[in-house]
Amino acid sequence: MKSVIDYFSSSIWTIISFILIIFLILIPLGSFLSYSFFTVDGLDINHEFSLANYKEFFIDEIYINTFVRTIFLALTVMFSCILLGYPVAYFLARYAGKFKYAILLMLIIPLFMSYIIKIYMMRSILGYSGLINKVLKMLDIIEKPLEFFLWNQNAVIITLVIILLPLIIIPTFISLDKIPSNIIEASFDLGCKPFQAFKYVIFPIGFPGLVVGSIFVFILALGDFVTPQLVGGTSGFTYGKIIYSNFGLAFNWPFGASLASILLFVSVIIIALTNYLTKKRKS
Amino acid sequence: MDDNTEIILDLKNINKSFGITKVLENINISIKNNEFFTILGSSGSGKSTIIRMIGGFTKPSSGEIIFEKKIINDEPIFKRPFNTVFQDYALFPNMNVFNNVGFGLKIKNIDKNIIKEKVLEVLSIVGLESLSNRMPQELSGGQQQRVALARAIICEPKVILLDEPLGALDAELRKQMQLFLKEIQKKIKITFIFITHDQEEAIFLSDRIAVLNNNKFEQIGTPKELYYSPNTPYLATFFGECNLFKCEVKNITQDTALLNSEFGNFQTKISNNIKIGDNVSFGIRPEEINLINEKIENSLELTIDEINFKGSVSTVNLISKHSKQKIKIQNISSNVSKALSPGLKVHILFNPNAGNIFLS
Repeated sequence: MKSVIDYFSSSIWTIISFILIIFLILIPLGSFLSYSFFTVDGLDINHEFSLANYKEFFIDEIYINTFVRTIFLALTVMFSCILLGYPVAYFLARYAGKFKYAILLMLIIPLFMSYIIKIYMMRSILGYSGLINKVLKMLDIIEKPLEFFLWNQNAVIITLVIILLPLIIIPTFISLDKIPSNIIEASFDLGCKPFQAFKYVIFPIGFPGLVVGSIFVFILALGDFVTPQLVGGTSGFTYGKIIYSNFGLAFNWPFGASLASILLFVSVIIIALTNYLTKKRKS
Repeated sequence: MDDNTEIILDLKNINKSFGITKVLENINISIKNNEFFTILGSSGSGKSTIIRMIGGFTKPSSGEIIFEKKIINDEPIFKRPFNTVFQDYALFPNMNVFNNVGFGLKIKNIDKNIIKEKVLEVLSIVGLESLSNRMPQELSGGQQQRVALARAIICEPKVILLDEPLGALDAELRKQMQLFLKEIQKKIKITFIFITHDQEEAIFLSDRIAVLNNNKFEQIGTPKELYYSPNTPYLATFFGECNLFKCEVKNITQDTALLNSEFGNFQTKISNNIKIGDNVSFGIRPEEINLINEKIENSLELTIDEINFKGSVSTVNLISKHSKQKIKIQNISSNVSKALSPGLKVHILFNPNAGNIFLS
């Protein structure tokens, strides 16, 4: 009798989770994809199937160029985050001892802060009369404010790196921290020098965490449109900002939807590819 | 036996504290080449710390570790010619069995073909040739254990350190692995330093055993020495059962002593440095006590308290009217135990050549 009740209650949960997935993910996604095949006629949306939006993406160079440039931007952000974040995660996991969770918590706190506030904060640090320029001026290192990190792509990269850094540190830390100390001891025991232990044992075992963090950072940097808007100026134009302007400014929802679909498609392919490569590495 | 040339590893006056907690005090051992040496102690006795100091994972607070006449206290782990088999195996989860076993050679930049040949050879010694492509997670505990052993053997170390390697296995597998370890140690002729908390395992496997108690070695010796002539009452009860009770030395002749106990007076061989009037403990194993038919010289008269019938042989507990303590006799054959019942008075005789006197 009990097993029958169990069976029903478990199947109810299964049904609920399917309903949630269908209504909250699949239907919105389908509607959004179908919009990408419509066109606009003045202020009206023409609900007839058309590939015009996709055609325009491939014909007008500006879209592809911006897309490629944004991918490179996201890659730059990702690799900068890896270079800065991996050593931090490694230090925390291996050497921070009893302080490691306290330090980790300090790294997580910024994630609770509003994303917009963090961008404004970066503006006040990077700006013409921002913290960096003021300090450098006060110390008489520069006469005129530095401009290479102002209202351009560099500012976008710096801001994104700082905002997204915890997202790479946390999963990397978790996967490194999980490595039992006797596995590392075993590598020394079998003759590894510290660098070899890192190369053959610590890095490969912690690799999946690094991949997860990198995907987070890459995807978020790829689709971001607020940061370029607030610190990017005119040259820090990104693909995300084009999508945003098609929805918010140009009222061309179908074209915006098709640009977003392309982004989604590329993101999914990248995730699938990394997943495949990590699995292949393992076996 | 005390030939110094064959001593490979020496621990001299080793002390180890973590903070203010003393873990090891004045540890001295000399381990011989090709010996199966066991360090036996309960959990928390510091036995793992000894092996970790030998392996180089931790340093002694004072004292010297001498390997082949050279002090190696400060030698880094990767330079020591020892390999460790860890308690929970510590196999690399990112490598298959083949790569796990070949890892030590790969680090030494040995030619790939030679590595392959050696790995296959070692895998066949431990009986895992067919599993070389499996990942560690896909193996059973016993198989992982054998991979860990193969990974240590392949480097041809001078000493293999085994840190409770059988601790995580179930009883049946444990027995199999004990046999396997013993065979393999004879086959490959490498010194094994083995750690366990299991007395039977230690007796079965070892050439020599060091018993660790309260941060110190109680006694070091062959299994037979430890069983037949323990140094302390603790050791007497540690290996197998032992009847232990207080006595007073009444008289001493050339090689026997007359002891007075709550059970009566009896003669036994002299052990330790005793004087007339000393208060001592006497220990005798249940199998060294015989039930006899009538009172003879040196026999004791006691009352049967309970009989544990176990089929062909039984054990019997005896009491005397002066004592609350019991004396246990075992291996009473069924045709004798048939005639016994609680409350019956019987005569017993201690084997005069067995038993040990401990100064208290």
